[in-house]
Amino acid sequence: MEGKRRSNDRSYGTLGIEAIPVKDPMDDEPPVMKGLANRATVILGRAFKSLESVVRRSPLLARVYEELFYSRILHRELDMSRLPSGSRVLVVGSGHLPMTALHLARHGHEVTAVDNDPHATASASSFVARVTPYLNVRFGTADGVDADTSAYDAVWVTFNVTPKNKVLERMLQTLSEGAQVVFRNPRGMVTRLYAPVDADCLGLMPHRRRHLFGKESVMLVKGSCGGPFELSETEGGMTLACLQCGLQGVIARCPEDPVLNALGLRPGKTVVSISRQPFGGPLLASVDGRKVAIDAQVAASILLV
Amino acid sequence: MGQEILLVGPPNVGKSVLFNRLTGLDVSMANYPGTTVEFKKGEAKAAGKRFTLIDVPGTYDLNASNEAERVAVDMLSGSPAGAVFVLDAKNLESSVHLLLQVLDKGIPTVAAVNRSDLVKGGVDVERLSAETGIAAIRTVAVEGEGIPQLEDLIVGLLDGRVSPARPLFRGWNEAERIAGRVRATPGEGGRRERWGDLMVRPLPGIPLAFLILILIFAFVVGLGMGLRQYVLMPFFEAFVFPPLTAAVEATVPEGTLREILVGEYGFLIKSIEWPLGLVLPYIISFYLALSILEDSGYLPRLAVLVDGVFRRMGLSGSNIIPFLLGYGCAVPAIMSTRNMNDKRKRVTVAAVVCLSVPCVAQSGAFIALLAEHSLLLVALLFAFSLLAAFVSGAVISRLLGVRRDMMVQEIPDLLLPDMRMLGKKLLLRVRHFLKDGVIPMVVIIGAASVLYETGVLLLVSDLMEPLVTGWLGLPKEASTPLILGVFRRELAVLPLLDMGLGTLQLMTASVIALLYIPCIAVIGVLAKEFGLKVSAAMLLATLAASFLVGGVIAQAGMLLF
Repeated sequence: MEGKRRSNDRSYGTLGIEAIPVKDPMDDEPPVMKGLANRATVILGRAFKSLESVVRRSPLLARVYEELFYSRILHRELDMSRLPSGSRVLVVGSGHLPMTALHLARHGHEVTAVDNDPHATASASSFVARVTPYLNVRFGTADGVDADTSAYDAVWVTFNVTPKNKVLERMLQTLSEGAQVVFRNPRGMVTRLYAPVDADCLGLMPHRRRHLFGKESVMLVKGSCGGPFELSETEGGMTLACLQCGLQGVIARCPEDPVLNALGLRPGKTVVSISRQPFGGPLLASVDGRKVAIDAQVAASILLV
Repeated sequence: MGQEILLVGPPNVGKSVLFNRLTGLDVSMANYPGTTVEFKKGEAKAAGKRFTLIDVPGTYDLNASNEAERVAVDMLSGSPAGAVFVLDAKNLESSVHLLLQVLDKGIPTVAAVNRSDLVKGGVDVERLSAETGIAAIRTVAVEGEGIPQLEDLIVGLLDGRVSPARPLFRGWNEAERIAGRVRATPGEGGRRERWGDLMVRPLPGIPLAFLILILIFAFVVGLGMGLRQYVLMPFFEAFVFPPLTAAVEATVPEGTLREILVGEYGFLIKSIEWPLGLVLPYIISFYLALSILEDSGYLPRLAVLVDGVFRRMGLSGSNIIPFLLGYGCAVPAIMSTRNMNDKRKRVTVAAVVCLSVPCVAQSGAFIALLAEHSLLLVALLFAFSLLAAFVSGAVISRLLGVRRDMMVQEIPDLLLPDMRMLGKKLLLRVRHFLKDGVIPMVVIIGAASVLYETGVLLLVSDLMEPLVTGWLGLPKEASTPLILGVFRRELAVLPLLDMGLGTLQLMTASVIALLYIPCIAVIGVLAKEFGLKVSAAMLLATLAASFLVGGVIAQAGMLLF
């Protein structure tokens, strides 16, 4: 294993997104587990795809399927995003049964749905033409990794998109300031089957809604760190929340809070991340030899150089 | 009463150790008027001069918004003879920042740089004096170093020989500059620091926390039981009860009155046995354990570890303190929620404590009741209590729409607790129990024995019989503790002792007693803190929960066994 690495060993791109290390939890797993998990992902992905291609034949089944798996999740995502009606939304990974796209269109958004599988986009667009021709959804075949999202107000990245990390990086690069990305992540036990994206390490403050059956929705707003500041061009967007244990970083900006400041969390100070708690608990950091426990959300508002 | 000297400084600098070094045994804990912030006040003497030392609540900043900070500002705005400011040699910048804020209040001040043994190269106090214009010395409070010099400085304050410092420019730049001049580089962390870090790492921190809590529990129970069985009860049985009974039998003719005094629920016997024989030993052992936890610096580490669970209840790990206090008594636990700003959060904590945290007296009673049968039952009941706390917390906080606080907390170094300080703390707390806890208990035991011996309780028992025997599967007499439980929580358990209950009945009765309405003192506090509506709602909810859950356990158990 490597010893102590310093955060300034890494170089950042203009937005710093490519260079931010995203911890793959599978790294810690023995190769056999990793192989199994990858296989499970592929098999489960296929299973869902074939289920959807069956369900899409019957409008009634489709409706039941939507109620079962999507309504509640989408309702909560929309509640979180507070997107004004008539927004331009891109759905990446719409699949055979474009429930997310349809739901968003029903809420009055102008939806474009893409998938990298041409069969999926073809059957999705025929499904929509047959069942809900009155809804305005455009379909296209494209890969999220090369998409240009600058024209959209929000992007939805669905659960089964891979490689989600790369897709998200691309989205965050090409989106305009203030635009949102909503993506679905596994959580809890399900992370053993699907590798989650570490939302804390995309350099933006994540907003989360947890769902049943091991899913969560994460929303990121481009250019917002969640703290009382906006990112400037030169700042990397690396926050204390994403600093890996054992690494250190220098604080660039920090909320002006008397207690936070008195505990040594001030611009220019070097912080070392010591440990993290499970279940979204606080992280332990050390500043000038003083140990401080910081809530993960507060840590996400402390920007490092 | 002499002149007043304030002891001011940030948290975790060893302020209370200095306080104990400077004061004698005449120390009291008091609430600051209009708040629940407790502060210590002690009589002290320096070079023959008597003065009152006031331990101002530790704060990081005078501009922060919590109640303890407001109290500190208020105290500094009064007219004390002077202030002793304690700086932390290990964290000089933030100490100097606070010192500058305090100097701005215009009080004659002297400074003590504590923990100066923990920094390499020492602290240049002369430089600090020159920069801030006040006298400064080095101290190591735990070793007693620098105390005589500090007393000399205090004499200067008392004589009025120290004038307030000139107003200084405040702000972090100034604090950093001064601290840089005084130059203290923190020493290398030793073995203790490594242990301290390990304790907050999920592994081995979480298993270690379980181990520590179990050990503490065993300590509380073991010491409590030992004190009760081998010290206090034998003492009362040998030297107090026989003469008492003999005296009553000689003077009072046989009949109701004698029964009330020394009969089965005899007032004279029970009013000594229950508060002093059964409860006091646990008060002693519980508060001793809590003081050790507090003084060793483990509590903040525990708070970090439980934060992930507490956030599910809309709380933060720092809120563990009312819960731990609740295992002592719900009254201080509810009072300690006052420094939480959100009323809904306070109600959540109070409700969880009332519903599912047994007070030390009740725990003692549970152990007395269940341990004879099987230790497993004791473990089962306490596991149930934790589960009930979590479930009720999650449900109530969701119902009330509680928003979570974000934790930002210093994790102080681990410390070996000082025996003298522990003793002093324990003395303060036991004194508090004897003063405020025993008398209401005696009064209520008196009322209960009158009701019992005159047959009134039996009448009420008859009315409750269908519920108690049918739904809960308990003997008819089991309604007595339910009525007594309104008065004191442990009284919902103790009368069950002699009923010869089976395993299932024991479990049912214990769960009911656990969830049952809090005692009359707690109801009073609830009404005072949250109003009649909230306390009435809590009474109803606890009553419903206890009969519902107890009944379900009884019915399910009867079906299964």
